[in-house]
Order: sequence, then C-alpha cells, then structure tokens
Amino acid sequence: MTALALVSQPAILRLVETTLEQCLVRAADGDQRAFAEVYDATSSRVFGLVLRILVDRAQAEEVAQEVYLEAWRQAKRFDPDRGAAISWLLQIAHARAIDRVRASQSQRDRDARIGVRDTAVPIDLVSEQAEVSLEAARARKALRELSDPQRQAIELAYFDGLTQTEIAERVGAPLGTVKTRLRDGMVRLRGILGATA
Amino acid sequence: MSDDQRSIDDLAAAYALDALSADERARFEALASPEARAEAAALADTATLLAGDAVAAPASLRVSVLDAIGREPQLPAEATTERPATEHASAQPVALQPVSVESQSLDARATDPNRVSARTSDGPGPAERRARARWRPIRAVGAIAAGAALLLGGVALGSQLGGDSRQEALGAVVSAADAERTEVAMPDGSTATVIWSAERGQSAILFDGLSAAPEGRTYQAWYIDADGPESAGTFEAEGGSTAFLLDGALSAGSAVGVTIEPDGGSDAPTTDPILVVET
Repeated sequence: MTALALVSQPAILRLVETTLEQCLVRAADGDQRAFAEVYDATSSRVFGLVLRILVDRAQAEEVAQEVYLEAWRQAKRFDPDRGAAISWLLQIAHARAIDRVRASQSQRDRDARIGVRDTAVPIDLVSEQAEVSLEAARARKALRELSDPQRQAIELAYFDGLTQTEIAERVGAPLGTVKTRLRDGMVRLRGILGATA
Repeated sequence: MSDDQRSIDDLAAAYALDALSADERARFEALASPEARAEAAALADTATLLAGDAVAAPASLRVSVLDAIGREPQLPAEATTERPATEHASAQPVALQPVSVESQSLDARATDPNRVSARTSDGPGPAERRARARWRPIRAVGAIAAGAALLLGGVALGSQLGGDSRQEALGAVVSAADAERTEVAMPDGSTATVIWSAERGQSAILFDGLSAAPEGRTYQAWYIDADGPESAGTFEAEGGSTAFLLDGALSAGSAVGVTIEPDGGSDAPTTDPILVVET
C-alpha cells in the first residue's frame, strides 16, 4: 500500500463523518429523516460487524435492530466532540453483539460456532459483501503486524466475545499475560492505524 | 499509583474491547483513573477500525428500524451514557468542566478595544475533538437568552435552567465580596484572568482565546504553596471564551499556575508554567 493511500483515505472518512455527525445530532431532536440518513450511511458496516460476531443471520438482524433502537434512544447522548458517529455506532453494535453472544450461547455452543466460522463462514461473507472497505483492509494489514499472541488475544476478544479470563483459559496463558497482550496489541494497533476512527 | 489502582487501570484495553465480565466492567467504570478512561476511550475508537467489511443489511431491517423509532421515545441528554461513554468524576487529576462565557461581555474586551483578538477561527479537527473527548462543554448562550444569566463583575456567566452546581460555585467565586483578579497575557497572545476569593478558598480562570493544547497534551492547573504544587484539574481550550473553576482548595498565599502536560494530566508539573499568579 502506498503512503498516499494511507494518508488520503482517512481524510475522506472525516468528510463523511462530519455529515453523519450532523445527521445524528438532528436525529437527537427527533428528526426521523435524519436518522434514516444515518441508517443508510452506516447500516452495512453495523450489520457487517454484528454478522461477523454472531454469524447467524437472523440473530444479526435482531441485534442490528436493537443497535439502531438504542442509537435512537440515546442520540441526545451522542456528542460530536467525543468522536465520530460511526465509531459511536460501532461501539454500541459491538457491545450489543457481544452481550448477545454471552447471553444466548453456552460456552460449548460458542466453541462450535467459532469452529464453523473459521472454515465456512468467510466464504459466505465474501459473497454478501456490498463493498470491500479500504479501512477493513488496513485493519487486517495492521493486525498482521502484531505478534501472533497479541493478534490472537485481540481477535478472541473483539470477534469471538471472549472475556480476558476466557481468553487466558483458551490459550493457556496467565491472565496477566493476556492483559498485557491485549494492551500492547491495542496500543500498537493505534500506533499503526492512527487516531482516526 | 497504588497497586489497586494499577490493577483497575490495567483493564483499559480489555474494557475497550468489551472483554471484561460484567463485574470487572463495573469495577473499571467506577474506579478507573482519568488516564485509564482516556486510554480506554482511545482504544475503543481504534477497536472500531477492526469492525471489518461492510455487509448489506436486508431491506426489511431498514423498514422495521424506521418503523420502530416512530414509536420509541428518546432519552434525555443529561443522564449518564451507558456506553460507550467513560467519563466519571473521581480520582485526581480532575478534568475541569468549562463554562462558556459570552465573549461580548468579557470586561477585558470592553475596557481594551485595541486588544487584538488571538482567537483561532478554525473549528476543532477530529483529532482535537478526540483529545477533548473526556467531557462535554456547557454552552451558555441559550441559557442566557432564557434569562438565567448571572451578571457578575462585568462577566456574564450562563447558568443553565435547572441549576448547575459548578456554575453556581463559579459565580460565587466571581461575585465574592473579597474577590480579586489579575489579568495575564498568555504566551500564545491570548488573555487569561485569574479570579480568587480567599474567603471561599476557591479560584477560577477565565480564558479568552486560549488556543488548543498540542495534540496529546492537556492544560493542567495547579495550586502551588510551600508544600509544592498540587493539581487543580486538567482542562482543554478551543480558542473561545471559557471559564474554569479550579479543583481543590486555595490556601492563603498559594499561587495559581497552569502548565501543559501529557493527556490525562500529571501528578506534578513536568513543564514550565505558562501562567503563574500569586494570590
């Protein structure tokens, strides 16, 4: 990837996010059309994340609906000074999807599901993609720059919804080591990807 | 930092990744230091970059979402955000809450018409917004229009309807019978006015046009006495007219200082002060 691509793409995102933030602020005043614009601009990314975590399409739709209802209810609490609208939505989406994973699945179910996903699911996802995000490609590249244990810990947390304690059990490492891997890995990622959400 | 505090602050990355149990999460939200909260917010921001490729949502989802919001009430702004907000007022150094001041009513401006405004015209960029992401400025203009302004010593402070203890305390300092003030020129050409009341043991600083701290840095106020400097809170600036009530107690003869510190503030000043006023 050229340096130019790394620099120019976030600049475009900032432009998009400004508009999104304005729409979300208007939605906070009860403007349903503005909220529809937020939905249209973000739903594929929110759905992509929720589907990746939950794998099951029906569940992903339910959770995505919950995410947008929560965003609507809490829109007044979105503060553009605190960050980008897409980041705010994706954080809600992640928390909701992880809550669903933990609430609806036993550990055993989850293990089985993760095993299935590791083989079959990415193919399905590719066929369904509306767009291949440059940002996602950057993130994948950045993840590859981490050490294997760091990347594994972050992926088990972010995509599989494991708690740090569960990660420690899964990989057979002390909890303190897992905490360090998560922290060092995330700080490194932030260094690579920059501060732009 | 105590071991207990460190063990809580060590949860910041896991918190950002939603990788804590409910108990651990509650513990972090209640007890984390401002530095750890800032780190968690920043890393949560980074985590969203991992979200992956977009997948078109089914058209039926759009219909049902837009239908549902028509029946769904919205929550008020002032309650604590469940997530992803991470702001809490607790451990040192405290992040000071700004009170925006009607610039036209700043007496510094009224008495010195030749003063060149040093305010910056550019709005904050995304990076700066994130750097300031730990609190929410109070916008006073609308409240003044609503008739709730306090006109004190030539400075109009907005007081939101319903009351805000911080603004009331700020007003009390400014209007105290023994209130004293000193105006100082800041290195960036802007003006600061330190106002203190020995009787109340409190002080405030009004900034007019103070530019934003460099990226990754924050302003931090200090009370400095014979025992050395003590943090009086961190704050951000964005070039406008803003007042801060300092955290902690002003003791007789203390000096008020401001330094530029790494984000989240420091335990003791690490740079030379850009403002020092002896009370």
